Amino acid sequence: MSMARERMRTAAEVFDTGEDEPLAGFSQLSFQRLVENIADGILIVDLAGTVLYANPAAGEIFGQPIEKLLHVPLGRPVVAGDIAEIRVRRPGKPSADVEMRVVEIGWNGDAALLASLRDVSAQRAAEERQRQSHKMEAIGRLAAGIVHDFNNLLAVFESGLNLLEKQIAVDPADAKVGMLINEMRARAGNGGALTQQLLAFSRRQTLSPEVIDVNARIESLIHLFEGTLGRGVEIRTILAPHLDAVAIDANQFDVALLNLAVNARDAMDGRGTLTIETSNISNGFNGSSETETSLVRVTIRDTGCGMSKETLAQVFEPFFTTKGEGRGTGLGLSQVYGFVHQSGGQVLIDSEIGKGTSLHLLLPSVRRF
Amino acid sequence: MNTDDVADEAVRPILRLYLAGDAPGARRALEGRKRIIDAASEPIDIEIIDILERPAEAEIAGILATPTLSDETVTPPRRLIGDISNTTQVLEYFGYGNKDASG
Repeated sequence: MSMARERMRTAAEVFDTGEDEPLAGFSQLSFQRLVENIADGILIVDLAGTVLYANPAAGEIFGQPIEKLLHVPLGRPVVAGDIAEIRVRRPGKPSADVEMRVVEIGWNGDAALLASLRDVSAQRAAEERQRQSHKMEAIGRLAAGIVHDFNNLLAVFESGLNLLEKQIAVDPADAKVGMLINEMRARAGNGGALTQQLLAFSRRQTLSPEVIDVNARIESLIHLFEGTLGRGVEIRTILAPHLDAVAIDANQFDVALLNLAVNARDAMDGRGTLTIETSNISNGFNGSSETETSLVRVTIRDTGCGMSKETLAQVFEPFFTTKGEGRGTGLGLSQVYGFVHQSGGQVLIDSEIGKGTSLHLLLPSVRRF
Repeated sequence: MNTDDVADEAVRPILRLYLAGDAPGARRALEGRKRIIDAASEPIDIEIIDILERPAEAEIAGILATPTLSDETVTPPRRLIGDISNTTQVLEYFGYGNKDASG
């Protein structure tokens, strides 16, 4: 390979000009081969930050032929502690996350710096995938949780039926008969809602997407929120005019907003401002998508206590809750996560302790016909 | 253009800090930038350039990796790459005084 020969020659030139004594038993050629075949990138940089030498692995990391790196004013590499993390731009390729270590060395009689570079992009991506799979593993814990909740509902049903039986024996026309039936119907509704949330999270539920106007949906929910959230919570809406339509399951969207509003109320301890904001976003949000996509952003912002990084890492896990026993099921945000991902969107959270939380639902928009 | 601004720019050396969005080290570099400005014995402006938002500027300046702190008023540009949290080292490299050292 001519490229390989060029690299060898460049390295050889550099090593040939060295004045260092060959080390015990090893030829200079052995050291050249060592440096040229090592997996880590190696750069020798002078104290003014100019690249004096780059090994083939460094060329790989920078996505450039070694010759292009030589004499470049890269900058003096600095670390605090053992390593520094840098991100390397690469022409025509995604950038690389790189761990850099630096030691001072002598180079042709002058002081210089040796920076060793390790591409950790694949490792970082694997860690991210693992975090995701950990979250998904939590679905396994749903089974135990649902048994508990359903047992409670069944106990209510059983006692309700006993009461109904007695009441019918006494006087079937009594108003209490109707009340008991209504009560049990409400509990059946609770059970149904629970299973819907679980199914949506485990991605096996078939959503029924329909083209909806998100702004109109939010406006119709505000009335319900005002009753549910209490007087201490002021509700503000900043709804973008001409918002694109989205194709989502309307009921799941309502449940998601309700879950988020209840979370916001609890984070604010019943006192503060809940802001619901909508806007159109184009070209995706994270830049990872090759195709141009338009999104509708729905942001729910509170002025509450905020969340720590540790809490943020777990918020989408089913049954994870910071609320006291009997106050939350821990299924709220996992429903939001399941529903939004099933709808082809994503959920982002900004939160800071003491400053509140903003939760963004990014939903793919559809063209109106 | 405001003439005061021009005069101000003339006396304030401008360094440029090249970052890449929320890449590892970017937040640390921003904290480092603040400390450098606070510690410098003379006013320094450090302009932040997010190369994801302004890729052309990184291209023109020949920035290979981030974070990079760069003085482009000299040729070749004087640069540090990596962790700029050691304020004393950074100020010394770019030839500025340190309040703590002088006081």
